[in-house]
Amino acid sequence: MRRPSTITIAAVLLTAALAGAAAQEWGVSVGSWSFAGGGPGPGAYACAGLSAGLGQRLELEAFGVARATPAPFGDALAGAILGFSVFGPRRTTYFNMALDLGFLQTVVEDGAPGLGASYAMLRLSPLVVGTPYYGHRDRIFSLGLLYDIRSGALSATWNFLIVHWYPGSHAWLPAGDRER
Amino acid sequence: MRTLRTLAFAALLAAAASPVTADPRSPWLGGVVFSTRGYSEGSAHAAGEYLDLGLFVDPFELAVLRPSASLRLIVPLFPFDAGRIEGAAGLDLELFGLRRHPLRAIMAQASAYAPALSASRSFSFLDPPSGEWAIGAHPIRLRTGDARYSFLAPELLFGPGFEPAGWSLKLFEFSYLIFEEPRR
Repeated sequence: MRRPSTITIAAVLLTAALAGAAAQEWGVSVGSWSFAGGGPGPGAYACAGLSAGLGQRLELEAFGVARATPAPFGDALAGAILGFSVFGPRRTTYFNMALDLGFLQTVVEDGAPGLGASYAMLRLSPLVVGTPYYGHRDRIFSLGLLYDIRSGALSATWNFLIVHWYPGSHAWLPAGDRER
Repeated sequence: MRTLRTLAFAALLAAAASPVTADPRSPWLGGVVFSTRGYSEGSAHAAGEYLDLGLFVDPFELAVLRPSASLRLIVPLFPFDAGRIEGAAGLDLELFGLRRHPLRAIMAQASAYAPALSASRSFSFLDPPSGEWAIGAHPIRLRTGDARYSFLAPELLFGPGFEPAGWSLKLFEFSYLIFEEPRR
């Protein structure tokens, strides 16, 4: 296990600060995650993240992935993704496709905290339904390619469903239209 | 103790037969259900992500103890293995529906917090007697007029002779009502 370098921490904090300053709206995401042929190994993983809209088509998301089965929290990763909306602006294109470029860092490996393998990821979400305007956006059937930065090995990732909520975007709805 | 159990059972029956209908109202009879799950170490299932895909009926619009039934395929999805696809038949029992719940802020539709218990029997198509029994809970479950959303639902697994056989965890289970009930 390696220790995080000062440069890594500074880069993460700087990116977060810049994203925060430029963000159009904030979102919360939860979903499922799987690895095959590499990464931390097969199993059912859960992911959760915070996203920030950047411009018409870009969205930056910081997230965590934790193993749910067969050994809960046996492996965990933290990462960030820059997503590009392929078919049109995020806020107005109800059916979209997303292309993500990401980085994942192992932070728990075989139950032991510490920095392990790190990965670059290219992921395609062929079906993205919803928009931040409606407060809800789902990514369905996302398939990604994972590159182990240290060993150079390639593997695959899969997300059956990732649900995004944009709590602030509900403000446009008249109070009488939503039952609380 | 026996009297107490009899009274509790009678109360449950009375509640189940109550004419009070659930809210929000639904004109639907059944629909499709899907979920993703994984299995614990020591279970009979290899590590990976599994997809439940099936049909369900939800014929009784009861406010409490609302039963529904489902038939499913359990598919080893990632990594995919067609040779280990199983079938399952199950019953769910929704305990109650609570309209004023803390998660309503994330729902665009009118919704109810509706926790449920479940029981099912899975079977291998190659060797049907070798299947498992499962008893589970849906502690985080929301119901709208046309769907049910459940998150982080654990199940205890038992072998054909009811011996413990590990556990599974459904990360999410979504049910969409698409078959209209003809009586309404």
